[in-house]
Amino acid sequence: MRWNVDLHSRLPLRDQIADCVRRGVTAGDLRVGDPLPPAAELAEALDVDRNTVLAAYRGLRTEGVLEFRRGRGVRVVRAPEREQAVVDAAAMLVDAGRAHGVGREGLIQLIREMT
Amino acid sequence: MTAADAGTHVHSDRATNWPAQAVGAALMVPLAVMAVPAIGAWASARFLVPVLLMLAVIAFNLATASSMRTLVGPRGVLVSFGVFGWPRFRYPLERIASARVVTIPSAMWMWGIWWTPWGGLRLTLRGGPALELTLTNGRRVTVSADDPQAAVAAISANSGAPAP
Repeated sequence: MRWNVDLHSRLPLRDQIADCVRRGVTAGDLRVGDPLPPAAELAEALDVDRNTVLAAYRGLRTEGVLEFRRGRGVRVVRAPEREQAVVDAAAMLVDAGRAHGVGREGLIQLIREMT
Repeated sequence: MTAADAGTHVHSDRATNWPAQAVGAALMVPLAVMAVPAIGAWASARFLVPVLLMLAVIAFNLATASSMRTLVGPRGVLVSFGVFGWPRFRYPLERIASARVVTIPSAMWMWGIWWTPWGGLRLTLRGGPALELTLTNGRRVTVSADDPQAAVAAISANSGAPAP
């Protein structure tokens, strides 16, 4: 599971860390039930403050993606909501298909070829 | 520097051995059954003490050797065992001369924390893919990991060295 933060980015570190979790789940590097590294360890590895990682984890818990359990640590319990940008692009693809007579099977075949 | 190189690159990895945990748990049952009647009879302390010791060892192994976590980043490699994240082993990048992916055979008796003069330090809990570090003092450390290739890439990225 890859974690990437850019200290020079304008995006707050805790949002970058939360995005790492979301990307991990979307990419399949993290599955429902998988534990995340303890906040203190991840913070040390990323060279950020422990509270920054905790803030990221807490935000994801509020979203329902993570669960904190005594003795079991932090676990993924639900996939995050689909990335809106991807949903929007898919809607455009479906519209384009409709306009050019490409139906569901054609679109699925196209995606298979591209991925 | 490409966009992918910008920022901090950390790889977190986890290796588990659930069958070993199930076997360990199964072993606890007959041992507990043996210990319970002995508890009331102090005359059988000679029986009770070794049994409790075995329970303690198995409980320790359950807590430490059924899962392990590896974190790779700019601060080096951190390996920690089990539920408590202890014992743990740290290797700063300056101490790591090279890293590669290896496959270790499934030799049950060598799981956990083992050191041999020929094999170096082994931090493993199953056969299969592992990360092998060669330290600057020549010593080798082998660590069970689910994605050792990504761990090697993270070590290279953080060392500023080209990937092998």
